[in-house]
Amino acid sequence: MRMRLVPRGRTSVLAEVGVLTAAVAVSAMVGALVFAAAGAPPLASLGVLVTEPFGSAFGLSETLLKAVPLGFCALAVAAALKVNLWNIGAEGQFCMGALGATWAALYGPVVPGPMRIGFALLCGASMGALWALVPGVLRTWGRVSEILSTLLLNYVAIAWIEMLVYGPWKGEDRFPYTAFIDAGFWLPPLFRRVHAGLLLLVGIAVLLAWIERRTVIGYEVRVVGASPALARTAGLPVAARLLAVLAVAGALGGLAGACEILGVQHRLHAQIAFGYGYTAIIVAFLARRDLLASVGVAVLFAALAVGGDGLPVADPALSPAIVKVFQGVLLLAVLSGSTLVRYRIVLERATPLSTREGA
Amino acid sequence: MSDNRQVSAALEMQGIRKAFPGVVANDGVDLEVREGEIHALLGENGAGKTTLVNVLVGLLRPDAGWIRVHGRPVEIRSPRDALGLGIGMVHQDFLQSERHTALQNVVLGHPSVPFRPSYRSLRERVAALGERVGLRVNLDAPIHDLPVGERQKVEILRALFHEARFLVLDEPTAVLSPPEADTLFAFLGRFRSNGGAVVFITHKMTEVLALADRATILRRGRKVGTVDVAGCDARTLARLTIGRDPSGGAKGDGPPLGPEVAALEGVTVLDARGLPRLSEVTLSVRGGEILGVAGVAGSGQDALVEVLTGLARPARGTVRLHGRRVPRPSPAAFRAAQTACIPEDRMRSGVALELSVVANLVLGLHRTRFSRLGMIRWRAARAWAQERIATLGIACPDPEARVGTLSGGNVQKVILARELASVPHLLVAAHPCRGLDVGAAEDVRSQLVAVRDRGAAVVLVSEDLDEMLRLSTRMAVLFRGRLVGVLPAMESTREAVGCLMAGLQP
Repeated sequence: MRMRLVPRGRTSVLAEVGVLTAAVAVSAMVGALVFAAAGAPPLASLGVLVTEPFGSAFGLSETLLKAVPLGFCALAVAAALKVNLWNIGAEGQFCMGALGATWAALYGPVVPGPMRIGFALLCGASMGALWALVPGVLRTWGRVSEILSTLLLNYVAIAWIEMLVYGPWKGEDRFPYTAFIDAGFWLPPLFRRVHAGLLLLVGIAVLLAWIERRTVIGYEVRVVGASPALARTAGLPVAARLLAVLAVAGALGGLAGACEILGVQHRLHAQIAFGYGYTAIIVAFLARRDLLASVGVAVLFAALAVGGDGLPVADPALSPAIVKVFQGVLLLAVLSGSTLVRYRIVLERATPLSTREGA
Repeated sequence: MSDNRQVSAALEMQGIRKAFPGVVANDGVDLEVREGEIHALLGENGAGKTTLVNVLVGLLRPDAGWIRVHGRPVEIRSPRDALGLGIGMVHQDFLQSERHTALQNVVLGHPSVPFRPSYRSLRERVAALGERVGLRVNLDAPIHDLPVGERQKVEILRALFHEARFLVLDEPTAVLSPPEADTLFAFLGRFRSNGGAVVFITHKMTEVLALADRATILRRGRKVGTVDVAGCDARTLARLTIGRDPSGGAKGDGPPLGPEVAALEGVTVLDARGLPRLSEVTLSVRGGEILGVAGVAGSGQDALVEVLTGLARPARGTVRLHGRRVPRPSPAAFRAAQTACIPEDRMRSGVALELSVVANLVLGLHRTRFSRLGMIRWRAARAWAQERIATLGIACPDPEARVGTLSGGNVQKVILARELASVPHLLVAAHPCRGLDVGAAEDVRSQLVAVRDRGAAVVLVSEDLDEMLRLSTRMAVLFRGRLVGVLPAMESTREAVGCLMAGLQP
C-alpha cells in the first residue's frame, strides 16, 4: 500500500471541522499523558480545564475578560496576514494602545463626559496604528522585513512605558505604576468583571469581516494578498493598501491595550501586555487568518489560561504552565492537519509498474 | 511497426494510464522510440503529452501500463531512476537551483560527485563535455543571471553529464528566439546522429517537419497514431492534432489607422544595477494596428512591456498616451487611459490563483461597473461572469471555483476576458499564445485581431516570429535594448526581421 496526497479542488468544511476536532482530541490525549506523568489523575485534570473556565459564572467571566485583549491582538495578527505581512508586534501595539489610552485619561484635553471613553479608545487605537505604520513604511520604501521590525519595536514600546511609569507618569505610591484613571473613563461593566470591550471586539470583528467580503477596499486587499504582482499590474495602490492594513492591524492591537487600561487595570504599568501579543500569533494561525475564527479561538485560548490557573487548586502537583504544552500540541496538530484540509489521502495498492507484469 | 520493434525499439511505453481527479490524462497510451531518432509528441493542451513524459521520467506514477528500456522492463520511481536508465529531461520551466552556478547545476545529484566536490576537476570534465557536444555556456555564472537559452543548455548538459541516451524536452523552443532554436536543433541533430534518441513536445508544426523523424499524436489522453514525418505536411499534422482542419491565418487588411494611442520618446529604462534594459527607444503605436515586437530573448522586450503598462518608470525620455505626456507613469495612470495587459508570467501577474474566477474577472471593473457605495455588487458580477464563462468557453465548474484549479489555457481565457471587458484603447500582449494549444492560440489571436478591428492599438510581443509576421501591421525589432528597426508589413519578411534581430542591417 502506498499513500498519496491529492489536492482538493476546494476546501471542504467537513474536513476543517474534522481536523479541528481531531487536533483537540490529540492535544487532550497528550495533555492526559502530561498530567499522568505529573502524578495527577489525567481525566479529572482534563475536566478542570473545561469546568474551570465554563463551569461557573466566575470562570466564564474570567474567560471572556481575557478573551478581549487576546481577541484584539489575534485580529491584529490575522489582519496583517491577509496581505501576507507577519505582525509579530501586537505586543508592542498593545503597549502603545495602553499608553495612548492612559495619556487621554490622565493628561489629555478635557473632553465632555459621554465622549471620554470614545476619545481614550481612539487615542489608544491611533497610537497602535502609528506604531504599526513604522514597520509598514520601512517595509514599503526600505524593504525592511516587517517580521523583525515589528518584533523589535515591541521592546521599544515596553521601554517607553517603563520610562514613563518610573519617571514622569509615576503615580503617588512607590511602585512603577501611573495613578488610577478617573472612573469616568472606565468601560461600563457587562457581567461581573466583563466590560463593554467584549461587545467592541465582536462588533469590530464582524465589521472587518464584512468589509473584507463586501466592500471595494476589502476586495482590493484580498487581491493584494493573493497576488501582489497582479495587483500592481492592475494598477491597484498596493503600497497604500499594505499601509492601510498595517494601520488597521496596529489599531486593533492598540484597542487591546486601551481596553485593558479602560476596562480592567485602570492604570498603566510595564507588565500590562502580559504576552497577549505573542499568544495571539498562535491564535491567528489556528484560526487560519480568518477574522471571526480568530475571536472564537481567542475565547478558547482564554479558557485554557483560566483552566490552567485552576489546575494547582485542583491538584497542587500541577502548574498552570502545563497548558502551554497543551497550546503547543494543539498548534502542531492543527498545522499538520491543515494539510488534510487541502489534500485528500489516497491509498494505492501495490506499484502498478511491476516487473512481473512486464516480464 | 511491430515487425521492426525487436531490432530497434530503444524505449517503449505501453498502455500507460494516468487519471487525475475528474480527468483521465493518459488512457492506454503507447509510445515507442528508436535509437537515432527524433520523436515529436504532438497534441493540444490537455492532450496528455506532459503527463506521458512525466511518467517516463518518474515524476508521476502511472495507474497502469509498463515501460521497457532496450527490451528490459523497468520501474521508474523518480527522476533519479530515469537518469540512471539514461533518460534525461529538459523541463518547460527549468527546475534549477537559482542560486547555484551553471556548473553546480550540471553536476548536481551525479553519483560520482562527492558530498564536498572538487569543482576544478568537475569544471574540466563539464567544459570538455560542452566542447565535445557543442554546447558552450558560462559555467561559473549563477543560474539566475543566465538568459533562458543558456539555462536550457545547462539543463541539457546536466542530462548529458549523467550519460543520458534519451533526451526528453517539453516545449524546448517556447522560450527561445529563432537563432537560439536553430542552435538547439543543430545540437539535437548531432545527438541523433550519434545514436541518441530525442522525445520532444511541441505545438509548432514547422519544427516537427524540420526536425522530427516520427511523430506520435495524442488527443484527449488517447494516442491518435504515430506517423513518419517524411510523408506529412503541416496541414495533415494539424488535422491529426486537433481533429479538424485548422482555421488558417487571421490576417486581414485591418481598419484605417487611427490617431496615435501611445508613444515613447527617447525612453531609457535602467535595471537595479543601473544598466540599461532599454536605450533611447522612440516608438509610437496607432489605433487600428498591431505592432509586433521582435527580438532575441532578453533584448528589452520585457522592459518595453513594463514601460507600456506603467510598471517601469523611464529613467530618461517621455511617455505619451493619447497625445498627452504622462508626467508620472504608473500602472494606475495607464489603466486610467484604458490600457489593458496580458502579462508574460500569467500565473503570477495575470491572475490571483487563490481567488475565485469571478473575483479574478471583476478586477478593473470593481470600482466602476460592479460597485455601489463602496461595496461590490457580487450578485451582478457573478451573473456577468457566468455569461463571460459561457461565451468564451472557459472550462470551470462554476464562477466560485478557484482559478488555481483551472488549466493554463483556461487561465489565459480568464485573463483575456478580464482585460477586454474594459474595452481597452491599447492592449499590450506579452507572449499571449506561449504554451497554448493550436485551438486556444487561434482563439487568442482572433481576439487580438478583433481588438485591432475595433480601432484599438495592440502591441504584441512574442517569440513566435511566424505568428507575429502573420498578425502584425508593423514590426519593431529590438536588439540589446535598442530599437533597430520598424518595418511595415510589406517589408516584414522572415529574413529582414531575422537580420535585425541578430543586430545586422538587412
